[in-house]
Amino acid sequence: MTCDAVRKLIPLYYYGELTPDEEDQAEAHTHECSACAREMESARALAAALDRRRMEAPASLLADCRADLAAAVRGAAAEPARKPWTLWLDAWGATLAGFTHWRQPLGAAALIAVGFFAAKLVPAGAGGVSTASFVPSEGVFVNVRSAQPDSNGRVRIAYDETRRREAYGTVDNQEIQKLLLAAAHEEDDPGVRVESVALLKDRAGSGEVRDALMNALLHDSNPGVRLKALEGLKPLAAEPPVRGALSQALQFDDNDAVRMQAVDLLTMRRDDAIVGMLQNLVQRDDNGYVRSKCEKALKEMNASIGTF
Amino acid sequence: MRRSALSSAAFLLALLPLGGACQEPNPGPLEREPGGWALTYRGTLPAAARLRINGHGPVTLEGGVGRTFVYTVRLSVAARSEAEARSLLARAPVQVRRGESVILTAPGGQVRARIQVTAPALSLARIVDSDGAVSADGIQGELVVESREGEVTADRIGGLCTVTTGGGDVHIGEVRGRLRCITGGGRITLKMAHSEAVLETSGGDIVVGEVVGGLRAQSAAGNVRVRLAGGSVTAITGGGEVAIEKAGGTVTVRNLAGPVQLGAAQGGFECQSASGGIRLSSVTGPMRVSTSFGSIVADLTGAHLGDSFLATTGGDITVVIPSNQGVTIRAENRMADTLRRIVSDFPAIPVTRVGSRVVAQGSVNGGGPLLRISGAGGTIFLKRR
Repeated sequence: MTCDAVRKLIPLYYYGELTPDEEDQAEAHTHECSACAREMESARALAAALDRRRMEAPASLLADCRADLAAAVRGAAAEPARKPWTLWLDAWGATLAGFTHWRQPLGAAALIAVGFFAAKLVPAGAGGVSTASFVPSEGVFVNVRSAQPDSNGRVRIAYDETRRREAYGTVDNQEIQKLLLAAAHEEDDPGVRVESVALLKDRAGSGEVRDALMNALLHDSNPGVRLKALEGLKPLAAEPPVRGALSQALQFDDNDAVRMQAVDLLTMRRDDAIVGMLQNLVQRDDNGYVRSKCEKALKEMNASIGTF
Repeated sequence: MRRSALSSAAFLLALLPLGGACQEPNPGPLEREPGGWALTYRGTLPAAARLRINGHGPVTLEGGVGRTFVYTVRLSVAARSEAEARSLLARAPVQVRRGESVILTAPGGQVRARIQVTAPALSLARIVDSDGAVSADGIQGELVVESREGEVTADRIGGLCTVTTGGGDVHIGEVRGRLRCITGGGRITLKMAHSEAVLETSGGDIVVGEVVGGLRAQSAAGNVRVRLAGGSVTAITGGGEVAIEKAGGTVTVRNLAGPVQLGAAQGGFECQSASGGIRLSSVTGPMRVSTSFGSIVADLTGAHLGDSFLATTGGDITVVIPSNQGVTIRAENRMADTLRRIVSDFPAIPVTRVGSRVVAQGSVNGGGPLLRISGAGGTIFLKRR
């Protein structure tokens, strides 16, 4: 493989876009050719510098993009008046026209940058974008696969991330909390759910966290996750929605410890609304502790133990 | 002569109640208490080596105190009138039997009994309770607690200790003999066991300070934390964190969900995790570590490895190798989209592609036990310390 061919491949190599054979050839060449090795290193440095750069998006950027896309959807039949930034792009296009041999790698890098900054600059939650954005701890690269406008003037961008991202901060950080809430629903990985719910359980004051804990208590398949959720709900045991969730757990959870904690929390305060449920559980719960707790609570409420 | 024989017989008959018959001690006056009435029995009994308490409410036993038994049994009953209370309590007397063993039985049914006993040195104390917290302290010999439900606390137990409760937390202080605790649900804490310990809960955390012998800790769901075990440790949980700081024998961990952390193990480490990261260090002996979802971080500093393997099907594997650790590495990653699926700090362990896998193998620091590393995604890092 020649130096010229390798240099064309370098940006693609760096972003994991080469076939295994091409990758091997490129590596073999750069091990022997110091010039290409330097080229490889400078491509890496460029991408790293792009990652480190923080940009404040102008407030009008999103609106401009939408207008532009909407015009494109209309088929550009009546081309709108050209705005200054489109003229600026044209000027750059003319400038770069001479660098034909850089066209491919630069195009690839531009696509990656578009994907990356799309994720990075648009505020989470704004305009329906649901991706959280973080400053990565090391290179984060995304490959944009498609960018499709829809009839509402919004755009759907599909991209692949080629590196793991890492977020670092306190649990009180909103962005961190969002990730933890997402992880609490990670269906395939109960280990992540256990850890996420354990981290969230001390933040049950937030409505979103409380809802996530109740959801975990009622629906998580792993009893360890449910127990952690219960721990988090303890301070809120007087709230009606939480009591509802606790009642469900007490009646239907198959784990003894979950039911025991649920009955403890529910019977901490007098609540005539749960008499029927307690009477039922005295008769049918498998766990002696649960039955006994229900019995005691009924006695304290001067309610009959049995049902008639 | 005949009169003398009759007198002796009469004297022996008079002693009978003390030598094995059942006694009904006399209660104090009936007292009013919130929600009902209460009657208190107090008494003392001569020393015996064994004690059995049949309780129906909270029981507190303190052994190794004085030369006689001193007991207080307070019976409480919910009643609308004094007459009704008297009637109910009359049908529910406290019974004390003294033979080779002292047996103290509180009535059940509608009567709730709070029992407190101080006892001389005991070779065996058995507490059977239907309801309420049980506390036993200072038993020189064996302790057996069987509770239908309720919290159990035991400390300073000189012999074998067996605690079973249908549900409730179990707190164990110091036990010199073997320890076995089973709870139908609740947290188990153990400060110090001088022999082996078996701890099982249907749900709840298990927290162990020190066990001189082997330890088996099993929870249907909850954390398992062990600071120090002199022997082998088996820790099993259906979901939660497993953290073992130091073990003198083999450590075996099974975790359905949650992270696993091992500080040091002298007899090897076997870990199967269905989901969760694994972090381990200072293992002497073989390691057999696998997780379905999660990363593995193995620090070989201070380790004396046997042939081992580390495997994950979804996560990174990081192996930190110090300069004084000779080891032969055979690593493969079935995800072969790029050679960087294995990152090696060691020139002696080059990374190559073999078929549809990325493979790295070689010897570090002169070679040594074989460490097989298998990944199916993520990245394998071979790091130099």
